[in-house]
Amino acid sequence: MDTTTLNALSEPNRLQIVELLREGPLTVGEISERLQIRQPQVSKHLRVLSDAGIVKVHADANRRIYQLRPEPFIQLNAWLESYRRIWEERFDSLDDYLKEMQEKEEK
Amino acid sequence: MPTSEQVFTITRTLNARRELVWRAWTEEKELANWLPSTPLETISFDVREGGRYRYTMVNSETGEEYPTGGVFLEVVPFERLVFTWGYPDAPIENSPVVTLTLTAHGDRTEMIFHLRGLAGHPGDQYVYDGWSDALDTIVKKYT
Repeated sequence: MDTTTLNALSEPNRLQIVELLREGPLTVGEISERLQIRQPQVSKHLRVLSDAGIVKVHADANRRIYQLRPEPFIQLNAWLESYRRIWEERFDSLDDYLKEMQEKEEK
Repeated sequence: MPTSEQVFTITRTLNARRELVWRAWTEEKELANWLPSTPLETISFDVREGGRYRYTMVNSETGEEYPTGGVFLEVVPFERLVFTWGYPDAPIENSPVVTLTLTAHGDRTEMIFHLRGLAGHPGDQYVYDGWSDALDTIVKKYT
């Protein structure tokens, strides 16, 4: 698992920006206004998010519009699913073993 | 899929009385019977609040060892077990937390397993909690 995504998200303001962008693409000014964070700060956070591949930017006339990229989230999900699978397998084994315990007790 | 509070949750109904499920989770010799590739001699469980546990999975082909461990944060016999889950001596604040809840239904037991907070900043509750919440919703949207 590449921890770049996790590191980029583990800062409250950046996380808020990502949550906001889930609703749709926005400009720096719009983000700044919605979150009440100063524009230079927002730009700084967007740069980190962009370096981590979490957001991408495109120009529309003289506006720069930021939006989320799905790839890092798909990777995160796959990573989480691998943990889930590990535990699911263990619980299959637990279930089997409980049957044995139960039989032992009944004897 | 994850709920809004946990990174993921697994719910299972087990065909065994709750006391047995509790023993399977808390007694070393029982754990050795269901934890995969985990020799009994690597398992040490001090099941009380603040107590530590550790176990080591061993890859039988390569001999590689994977130690796991943590601290019990809450122990309510037969009902609830909350523990950190990570490397054996990792600091508590920085570790994922597992909450295991057992509910008796006659001779069967409902087991709910929550895993929360796969990453975060030590000592920063907001980031720690907020991160996993946000991750869940983000993951839902994109997959």
